[in-house]
Amino acid sequence: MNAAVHAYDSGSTENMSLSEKLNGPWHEKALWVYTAIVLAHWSEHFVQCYQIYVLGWPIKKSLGLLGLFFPSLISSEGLHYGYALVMLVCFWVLRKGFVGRSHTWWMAAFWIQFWHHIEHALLIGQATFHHNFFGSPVPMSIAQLVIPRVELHLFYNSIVTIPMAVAMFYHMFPSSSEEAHMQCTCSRNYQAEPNAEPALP
Amino acid sequence: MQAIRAAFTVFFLAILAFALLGWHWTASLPPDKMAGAHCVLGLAAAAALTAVVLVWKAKAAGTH
Repeated sequence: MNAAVHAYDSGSTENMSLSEKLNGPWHEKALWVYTAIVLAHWSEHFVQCYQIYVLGWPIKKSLGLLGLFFPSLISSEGLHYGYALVMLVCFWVLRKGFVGRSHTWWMAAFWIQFWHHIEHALLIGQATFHHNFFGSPVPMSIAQLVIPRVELHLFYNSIVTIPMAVAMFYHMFPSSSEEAHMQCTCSRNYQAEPNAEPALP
Repeated sequence: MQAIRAAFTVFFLAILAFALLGWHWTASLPPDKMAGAHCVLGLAAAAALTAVVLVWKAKAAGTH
């Protein structure tokens, strides 16, 4: 059993830095919280797509579930940029907990999200300075020149979340060599030692 | 492992389903917009299918 897992079992994490805790004994819980945030965001995109593609609502009125109650919140670029930034930070902060194949997939998701975040930064920049690119009446990202916004962001979120999910899957079911280098409790092969000391209060 | 595989698969198939719905809906857009939309939706669908294959091909530790 690795040191971080043993530390978690014995409750002796006081000497660890926040980064070490987040990528060690707290990695699994942090990933659960992060996954909940990502799935909540996805549910909004799914609802929006359902409103447009199935219900036939106009795009401007298809703002997801939250947008039914808080339309100005969903229309604001700040919320979208904030979410993109949170994702980027979480990718970076939690990266060290991943090893082997899962680390490769996680970092692929990070770099794609990095570009996605740049696009949202351009959008919030235009909204903030009231100066839209390409003479557009609304803020425009670069790729929006050739791709409609709804489909573009469905695509961006797909190509960020899919490698992220693959990374999580490989992280949960690591090979023997990968598991030997893991500092967290995320592996489904992990079992707390039955005779480990109880956590300190 | 199978239950977790199934959960991941449901998520990937949801992405695939919405990409296909989008493909159908964007067919009525002007040709330049339709081409761009079909390009990204096709890539999203392909990525989702690839992910399904990857999670079902993965083996648990000790079975490599």
